[in-house]
Amino acid sequence: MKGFRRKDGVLIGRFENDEAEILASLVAQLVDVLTESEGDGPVAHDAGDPFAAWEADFAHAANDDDGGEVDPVMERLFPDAYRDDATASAEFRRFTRADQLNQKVTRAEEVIADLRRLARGSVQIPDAHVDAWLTTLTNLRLAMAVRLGIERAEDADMLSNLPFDDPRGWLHSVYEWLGWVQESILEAL
Amino acid sequence: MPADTPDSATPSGGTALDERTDVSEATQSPWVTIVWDDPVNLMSYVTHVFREYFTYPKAKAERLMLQVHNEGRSVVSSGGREEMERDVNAMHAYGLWATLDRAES
Repeated sequence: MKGFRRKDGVLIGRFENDEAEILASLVAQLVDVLTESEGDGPVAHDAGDPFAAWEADFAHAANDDDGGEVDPVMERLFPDAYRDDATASAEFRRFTRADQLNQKVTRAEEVIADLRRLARGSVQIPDAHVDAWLTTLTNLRLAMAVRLGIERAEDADMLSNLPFDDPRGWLHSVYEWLGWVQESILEAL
Repeated sequence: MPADTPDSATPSGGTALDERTDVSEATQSPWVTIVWDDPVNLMSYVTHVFREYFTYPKAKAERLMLQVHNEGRSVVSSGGREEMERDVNAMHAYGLWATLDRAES
């Protein structure tokens, strides 16, 4: 895509068709993970879906909350508020999680709606949707970083030097691209 | 934070003392919000969050962001416990990693 520019309260960015489709698909998968975590079970995929493998891995995030292991993606999207007080953190999570989750889903859906309005190679982000884009891109990157095993800055550097056939290569490229898209939005504000 | 973001300007030097979140005098404000560094969030994004949510001026937002980046953490606000829980909640909504704690005495 070409970087966003701002005109009359709208950010306009040029996207290739497949770029917009890939991004919409990734955001939709994020929505699935978030809504599955409310206990409805995993969504079925096509056998030919290239994202199926990543999504299946991602869907482990569906199993979380009290009792049993918490998926690190959900841990990162809903982190502890108290470093040294598990009880206070649990209490905080109990009060805030539902609203946080709903907000993440609503914002993700705004992004998908904007992407679906791709016309003549342009995606338009109205000012009112900028927060939705920035936070959704962040949430996507956070989830991918967990899956890529990025815990420190050095981990990200290592991923830039993967051998050609490493399966993480594609995911890492997309992760980097999302960062570029986010940077582009911020520069256009 | 990844360091290769061309947008981040250098913050102005010489921060006035009264601009700092002076927790040692915060007897009325016993809690603080701490933002922690993470390898994902862009420096420009973190600065944007501090400007937008806290309405800090650009220089202060950049100073706090650099403190997170260079020192691993920064105190970004202080106040009562409920107030800090609201700030932490907001930081989490932005995807930043934040915690609240009692101010150091």
